[in-house]
Amino acid sequence: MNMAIKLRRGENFFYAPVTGLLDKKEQKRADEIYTSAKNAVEKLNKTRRSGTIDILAGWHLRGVLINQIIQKFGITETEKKYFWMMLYDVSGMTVPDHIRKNDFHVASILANYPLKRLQEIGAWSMWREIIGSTKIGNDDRVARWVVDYIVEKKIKTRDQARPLLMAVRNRLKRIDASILSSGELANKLQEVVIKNN
Amino acid sequence: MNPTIYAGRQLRNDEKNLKAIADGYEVKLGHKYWLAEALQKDAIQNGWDAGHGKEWSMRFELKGAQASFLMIQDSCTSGLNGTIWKDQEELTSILENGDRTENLAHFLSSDFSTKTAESGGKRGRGKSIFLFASQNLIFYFDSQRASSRDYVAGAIFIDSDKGAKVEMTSGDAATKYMKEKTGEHYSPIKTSGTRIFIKNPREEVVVAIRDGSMINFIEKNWWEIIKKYGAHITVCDGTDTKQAQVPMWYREDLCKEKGLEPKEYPNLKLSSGDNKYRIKRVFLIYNPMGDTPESLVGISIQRKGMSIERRSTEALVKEDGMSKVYGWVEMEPELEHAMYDLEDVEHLGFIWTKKPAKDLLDLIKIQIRDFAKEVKLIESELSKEHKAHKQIEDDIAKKVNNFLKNIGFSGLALTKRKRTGKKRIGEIPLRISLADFKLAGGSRRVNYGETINAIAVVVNELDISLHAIHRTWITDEGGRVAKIKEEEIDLHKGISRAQGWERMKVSKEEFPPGDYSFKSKLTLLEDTDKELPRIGRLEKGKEIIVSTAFSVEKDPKAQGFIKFEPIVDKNKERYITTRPEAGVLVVEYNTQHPYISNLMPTERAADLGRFLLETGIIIAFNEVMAEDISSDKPRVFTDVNDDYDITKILPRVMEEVSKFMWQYQ
Repeated sequence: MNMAIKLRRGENFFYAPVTGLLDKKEQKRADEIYTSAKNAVEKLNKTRRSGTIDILAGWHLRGVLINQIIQKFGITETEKKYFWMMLYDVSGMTVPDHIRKNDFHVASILANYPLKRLQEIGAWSMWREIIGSTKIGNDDRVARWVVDYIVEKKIKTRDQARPLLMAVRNRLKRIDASILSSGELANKLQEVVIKNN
Repeated sequence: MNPTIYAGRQLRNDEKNLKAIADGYEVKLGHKYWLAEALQKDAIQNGWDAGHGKEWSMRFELKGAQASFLMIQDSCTSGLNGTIWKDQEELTSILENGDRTENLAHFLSSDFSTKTAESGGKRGRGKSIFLFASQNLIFYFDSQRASSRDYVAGAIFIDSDKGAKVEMTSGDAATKYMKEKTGEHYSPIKTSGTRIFIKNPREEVVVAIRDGSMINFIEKNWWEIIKKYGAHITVCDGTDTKQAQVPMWYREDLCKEKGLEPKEYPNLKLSSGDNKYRIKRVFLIYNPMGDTPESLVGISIQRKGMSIERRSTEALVKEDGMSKVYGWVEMEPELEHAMYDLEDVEHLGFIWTKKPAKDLLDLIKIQIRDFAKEVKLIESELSKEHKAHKQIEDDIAKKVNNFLKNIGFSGLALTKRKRTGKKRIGEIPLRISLADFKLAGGSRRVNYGETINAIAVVVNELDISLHAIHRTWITDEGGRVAKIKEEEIDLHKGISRAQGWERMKVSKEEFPPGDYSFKSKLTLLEDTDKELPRIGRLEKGKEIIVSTAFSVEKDPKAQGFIKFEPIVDKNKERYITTRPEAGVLVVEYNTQHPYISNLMPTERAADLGRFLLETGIIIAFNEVMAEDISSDKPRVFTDVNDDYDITKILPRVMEEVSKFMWQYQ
């Protein structure tokens, strides 16, 4: 089955990545993903209009809605690049130059944690900086390990988090984490903790 | 008899000083409501610096039917904290200590501002402008202090002896004082914060509040804090209250609805001298209709949420239609800090001839030009006929660049990486060699039909064998993979393995015109106990990557300090112009100019070369001088500084030009 995401180019739509002709079933799936994303944005806008939601809570809610879509349609890693682009489009926001470093991806990772726990630790800007780092944000396993560690150690500010983030980045410098098993990756990250204690 | 010695403070005419300060604002702002614009800018900057939580607000309000007072109040701020001193001696001692938490003492004193780049303010100019805004040269203030919850009040005024005086009191006496001075307009302050009452505000300020100019100034200068933090700023003319909003022109969603084309360039690196900075974002918007309000046209340079100045887009990029591009630049804290040192005391401009401002401006120019190409406002490629003299341009540029390289100028700083002198990766026993990557001819340009050897060789000179993945690929500027090869390999000790495309014919189908990267990567699939310099431990997942660049059917990005480029423009003022471009200064010569046009026929190629040499070297030395003036370490024009007689600059440049031209006949 060809996996595709519906994207807008000016007034027209196209399906990306173009990996061959889409059958009706595949096109229907892509259309449904698009509609679900639009509905999620509208739902979020309604919540924001009620005026009770802060920035972190807003992005957390976005993350929850995004993850529901990812799960419902089984969006693959290959599709995600285009999926993030589509989310920027339906939200009326400008697509950043480096699409992998994007706020929707950060939100998607944060949505795996209770909002209250995240709020206790820091604002959206802190979380964005942490997970927005290429080495950390490019691999969900690394991002989750970092968030787990921060939550567990109750690190409260960006400054407090910086030595950890730098150590993680240095440990994974010139390492392609994608070929490591979860166990091998965990061992490497554990070295960061041992070294810093 | 001993002579009598008089000891005391030198008398000052503060009224005159005040006028001089106000003149500084008037000249820089240059419009009839300059005082209103200056007033709101300094007042809000003071209020914002005094702490800005969620409940922060700022209010401007005309009091009384005859506008007998202009009240300016910041709420939910720190208030004027610090010691309530008893006498002049105590005040002097507080000021001498320079404690930044002593807000009250600093508020009531001249030129003792402790503000730094972390704040918006400078040298307490705001107070002077409050004072000048009063026809009677007096303003009252009161403050509910956040730290001690007590209340202080007082006044700053110009006395009959022309000297600036202050009064200050606290507690119940302060309440009595304010009631007496402001009469029916007094009301207790409900939350922590500071309020000033400018007595009999000048007519132009009152008019600006009544006709809506004041709210426009606020929106123009403070849109960023309104947009990002929901800053609540209101203006009341005594009857109606208006709240400052983010102008539609700075709202991405509304811009798109209106058919404008916005684009964000986030997180840009800026190299300036020995320092590295980051620009948070350059945000550019193309308005095809060209109906952007005059107050918002140009590129706003933001610092600490405040628009310091707007640079005309047309002046930054000299092309038709550039006035339709507007936007803003936000800086990261380190760059804001460096720029603060180059900011004038009125917060209305920077010294752009000094680093890092000079390099920042060059980077902004490059970004705008790229954006203009993207939105098709300017042509991205020159027509064929204008490529006719490429060889001459390159030859002359090479002559100039070689000469400049010898005196230490190999390119504009901007994004250029500094060489660190570290060992090359080729000397390491496990490496990828690109020695077999060969293009047709000597240049990095490849044309259709030519063949290239796109080969990368993995070399293992270690005493162990390795299991790894070797991948080699070619990508275009946008990251699209044009060709790729990947295989899992056993790299035995002392063995080399090649990967890639031998005698690859470059075709239009595979390689549209553009810049390409040839890359090769080795990823280890096993752990070892080997440790290599620069690479570190050879462990599973470790990557070694090399790359090189080439261009198809176009010239590669220029190396060196200058390059030449023909332009086509009917504008009589365009003869020889320059623009920065990714580390290079582009010298543009206008082929429509009658003098240059005569040199364009092929038979006059030698004359064109001579012309480019003669003019190019002047332009190049002019830029060398600009670099030297902006730098702490000038290399050629060590004698030229800010105080240099400007009439001597051209002769001084010609001295250096003469040395260069000496080698030609």
